[in-house]
Amino acid sequence: MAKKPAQRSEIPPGTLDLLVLQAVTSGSLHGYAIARRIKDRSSGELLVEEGSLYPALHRLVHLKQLTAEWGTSENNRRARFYRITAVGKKRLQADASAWRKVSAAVTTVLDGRGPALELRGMAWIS
Amino acid sequence: MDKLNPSSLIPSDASPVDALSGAGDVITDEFTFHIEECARRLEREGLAPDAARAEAERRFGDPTTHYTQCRRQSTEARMNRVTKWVLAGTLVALVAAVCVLIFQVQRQDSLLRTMNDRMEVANGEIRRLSTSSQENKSLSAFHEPGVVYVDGIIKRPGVYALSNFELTLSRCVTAAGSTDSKRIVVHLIPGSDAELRINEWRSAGQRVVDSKTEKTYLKIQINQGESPLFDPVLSANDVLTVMSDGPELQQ
Repeated sequence: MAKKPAQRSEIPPGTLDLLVLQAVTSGSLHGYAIARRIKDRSSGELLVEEGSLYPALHRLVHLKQLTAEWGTSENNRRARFYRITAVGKKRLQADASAWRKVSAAVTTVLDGRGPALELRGMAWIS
Repeated sequence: MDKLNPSSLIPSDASPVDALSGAGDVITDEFTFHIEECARRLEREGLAPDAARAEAERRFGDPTTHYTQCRRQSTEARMNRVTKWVLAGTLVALVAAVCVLIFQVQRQDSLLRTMNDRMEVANGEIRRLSTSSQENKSLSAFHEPGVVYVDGIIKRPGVYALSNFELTLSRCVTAAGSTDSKRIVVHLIPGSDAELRINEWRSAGQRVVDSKTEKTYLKIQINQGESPLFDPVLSANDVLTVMSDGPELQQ
């Protein structure tokens, strides 16, 4: 049985593009496969309303960070497959790097390490 | 499992442009595929077909909202493309206009420079011609071609033509055959530029004013075999009267 939505985490604003770009780095995928990959890689922790992937996919296509072409799925159904472009890879690298820095900084602050010690040191010097 | 009806996914207020461009079909095809794949997977996991489809639709969310957002992405992208083309076209037109303007200005400048050069050449030519004309005029005042009249006690009285070479009084008398007298007197009545020449003769020879005609003439005495003390250059219409030394000019 599926988990209740309340038990999972909403994805932070602005990170959906990052998750989508990361999902298609290993090859072209259709929309449903992208949704499955994000869910599987987050061990089902990230809550993404599956339909909201499509505006993001269309936006990334218009920004030339993804290409889209029609193909046939594993069930012989006509499906639209998305592939990352060089522009998309560049953006993924930049956004992933920024996200890791922010994430590490937030984690550090929440854990009460690093910056707090510095602040204590400054107070001691003064 | 029953297939979904794609038309049920398209909002009732969708733009007619969607139907014409096929954009709406693309979006609803994707939505349909997604929901069907999800339902199929849920069925494999043990859900009943109806329950599987209901769960798939729940997980997908509101298709109308997603459809509208997809359409908005396409419209914004199209508008951005149009704006870019218009801006690029405007920029190209502006650059072309500036190039044409620069070309025209350079051409006008070149034309003006050429005209100025030609004007300077023309002015130089006019100045040269003007100077030349003045020189010619001043020369022609004394040496203009014409005739002189010679009479008196000479062998060949008559009309003698002047050339551009200076003809002096003594040469003219010699040409006219002179006379056997040892000493002759020549009266020269100036034809052209009389006043000017008479002023010039003031200190050169003997000026005489005829009491009857009130004409001023020059009286030159020539001894045979000698040059006169003053030998004026003749001008057009001069009248020479040669006589033996003694009587005055009879007019």
